[in-house]
Amino acid sequence: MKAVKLVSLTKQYTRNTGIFNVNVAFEEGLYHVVLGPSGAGKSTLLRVIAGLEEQTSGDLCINNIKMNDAPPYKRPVSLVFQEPVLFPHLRVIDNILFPLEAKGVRKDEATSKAEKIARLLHIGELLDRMPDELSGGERQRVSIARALITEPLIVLLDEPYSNLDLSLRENLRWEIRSILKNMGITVIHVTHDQDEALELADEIHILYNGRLVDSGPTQRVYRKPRTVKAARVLAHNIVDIDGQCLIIPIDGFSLDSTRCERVMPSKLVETRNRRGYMLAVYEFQGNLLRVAIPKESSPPKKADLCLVNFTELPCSKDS
Amino acid sequence: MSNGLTSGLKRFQLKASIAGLFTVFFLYYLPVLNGLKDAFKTRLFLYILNNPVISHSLKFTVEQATLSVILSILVGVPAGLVLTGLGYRASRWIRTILFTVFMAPSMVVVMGFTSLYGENGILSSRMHLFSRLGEGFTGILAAHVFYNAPLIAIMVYNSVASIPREYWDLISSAASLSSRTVWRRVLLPYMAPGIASGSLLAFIYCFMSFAIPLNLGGPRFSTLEVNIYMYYKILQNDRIAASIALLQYIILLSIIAVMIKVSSEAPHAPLTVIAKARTPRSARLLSLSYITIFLLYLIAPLVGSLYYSFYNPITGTYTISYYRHVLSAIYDPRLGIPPINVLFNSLYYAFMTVIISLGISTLLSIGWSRINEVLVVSLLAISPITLGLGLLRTIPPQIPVWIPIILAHTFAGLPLALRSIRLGLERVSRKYIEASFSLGENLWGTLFRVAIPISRQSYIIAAAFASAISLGEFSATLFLRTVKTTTLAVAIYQYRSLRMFGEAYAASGVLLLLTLITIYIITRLEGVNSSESR
Repeated sequence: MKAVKLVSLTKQYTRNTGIFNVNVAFEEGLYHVVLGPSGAGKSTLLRVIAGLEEQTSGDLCINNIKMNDAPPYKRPVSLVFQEPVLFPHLRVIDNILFPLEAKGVRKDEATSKAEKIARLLHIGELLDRMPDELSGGERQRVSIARALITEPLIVLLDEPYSNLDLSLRENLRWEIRSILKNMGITVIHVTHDQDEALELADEIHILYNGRLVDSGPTQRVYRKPRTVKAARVLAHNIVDIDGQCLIIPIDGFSLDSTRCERVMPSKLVETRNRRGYMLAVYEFQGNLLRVAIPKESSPPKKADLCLVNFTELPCSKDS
Repeated sequence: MSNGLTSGLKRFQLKASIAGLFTVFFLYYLPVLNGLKDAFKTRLFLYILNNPVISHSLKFTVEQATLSVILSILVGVPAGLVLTGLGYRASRWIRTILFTVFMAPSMVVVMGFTSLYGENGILSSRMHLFSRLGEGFTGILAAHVFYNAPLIAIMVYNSVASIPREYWDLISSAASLSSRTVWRRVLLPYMAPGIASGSLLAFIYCFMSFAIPLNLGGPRFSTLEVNIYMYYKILQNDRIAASIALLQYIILLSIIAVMIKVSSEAPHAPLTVIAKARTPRSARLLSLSYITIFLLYLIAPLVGSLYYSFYNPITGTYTISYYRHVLSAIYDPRLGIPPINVLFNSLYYAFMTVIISLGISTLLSIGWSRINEVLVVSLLAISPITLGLGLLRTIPPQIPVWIPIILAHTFAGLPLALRSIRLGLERVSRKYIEASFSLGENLWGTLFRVAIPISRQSYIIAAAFASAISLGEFSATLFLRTVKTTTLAVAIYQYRSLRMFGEAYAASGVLLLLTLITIYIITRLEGVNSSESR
């Protein structure tokens, strides 16, 4: 079943800003990541689904019900913002209870739910504090608890971890993903971070200049992007050979050229250290190729790069 | 509240705005139009223009307002400039005093002037020259300067303090610049709009002045506002009263149109305080002497009236018997009710004024637009007596009189309460509104559970403004009241008319204390707000 379906959805701010003619269905119960560079329209997409922006044209269905004109407070979605927006005049517990009070849930029932969700997110000790007494990570945990307390059908996450430091971000995002998956909630998470997208997503949807340029299961989108723009967002190598584009992920090469269908004789230009691997930059017929190499091996100065994972697309199609 | 979230929110803002505008129109513009309807006859209007008493009153009203404004500028501009050269703490204290004087109830000021410059006044009994400040034309001018020079000083201070710091750095680095050039090229362009809008506001206040000419002026020096009161209440000629009110309304509306134009060009309020000006020692001494005399002029009447509230000049002893009297629950035949009821009336009206002001201000602020602004600023052209006249002629006699009194008090407090609430709600970040919506709260819930609590300080300030103005309101209350609805301000007038000066001073002391409490709240919270915005 489709939890959210967008049909020819457009939200236009100016001629070139907004989102344009987006057609996508977000399958129920999956963790969806919308990936795109800054200004691609990711947040706009979430805001339209949440009802904070009205679409210029097209349809939006949530659980097969058209919600084009529904105000945000009548949509079965919860939005978690990039910056945790906790109400400054309310204690943590009152912030978490806020949506239940809006729905008129009985106080004792609401409090018990709040305590349960607080335990789940490891913020049980913080319930009596004011928002300004919390760290960044704690604030985001509270805002997620608040979004989850009503057990919404859909949770929208707008780059929720981008303001956190790396180690906290990596731990928290996986922890929250597990909680959301266990609760069976459909998640639409927008980010510009490819690592985050690849780690978390069941399905990836790529936005580029306000247009959806690819959409599908994570591995398929990563290995075989359907457009050159999607490949560009994924930071894949793009080699133009007579109008035909070879799309090669950075881990799509092998240095072992024996029994290789396609070989690219290349020269090493430079190497860069990355977490977990080394990035070697090779030059092939005027193209710079970025190749992930295991840390323990040293990249040869001259190599016959073997393409083990690539796809071919006509360059002119959408570039 | 933020704009443009969804069409639902826009509709909500529009509905709130229409409700607010309708309330203002229904409660204020409609009664005023009804009150003035007789005056729209050309013959009647020509009659009052040719009436020597009224033309004299018009001439006097314009003269005293013009002279008062000129004197206020002459006194207030140097005070404002001296303030900018003081340290932040000193200037903040002095600005609080100036604000207190500006907010002081008119009858408290009348009693203050009486205590110093009136018959047997502290200063006039020692030097007869001072008695000229306690009565007649000079008395009116002195009291108007007392009120309006602080206003001008604050506006000058704000204008100069808004000059970017880089300008001062530039001036100090360019040694060749003469002080005349600095004055002409920097100070004056910044100060001029502030002085202009401050002067227009002062002119409006002086033009509509009622309590001061009524108490200090006497029959020879009565403003148009006093004449409306006299024609309606004493001579019982409501048609002439309405015609004078219309004449006054037209003049004030023209001034306000100019004021709207001028204020749109005025610089914004300061965010930073300029550095201490480097002035020679002698000039600094002169500045400090000037500001000290200015402050003495402002504080002395308030202290004088407090002094006389504890002093019995006949026995030459100190006493609290006047306070005992004004707080007594025993029926007073001269007031027609127990004096404590006067205090209760004032507090009750202030409370109701706060509730209604906050409600109307919230509605108007949610959907704030240019139309709201024009309509609300135009309210300044309606004098309290004109409104009182309209309410008396519109509201059926079976309606209890405390209702129009509260409406008149709300009217007086609305501009300041509205300003505070509007700024408070505008400061509520859009992100909180969006978060509330996305968490399932509807429009009203978001207003009451998020926007208002977050801007609660602005609401407290608005409430303090509304209550301070209600407590001190004199003109419309005197016009509308019955024996049972007498307030502290009116009681002071009655005691003074009956020459019960001790009781008048004590009632004035109670009113001053209540006003000081509200001013304390305003200045404390305004400080917090401004530091937050910084």
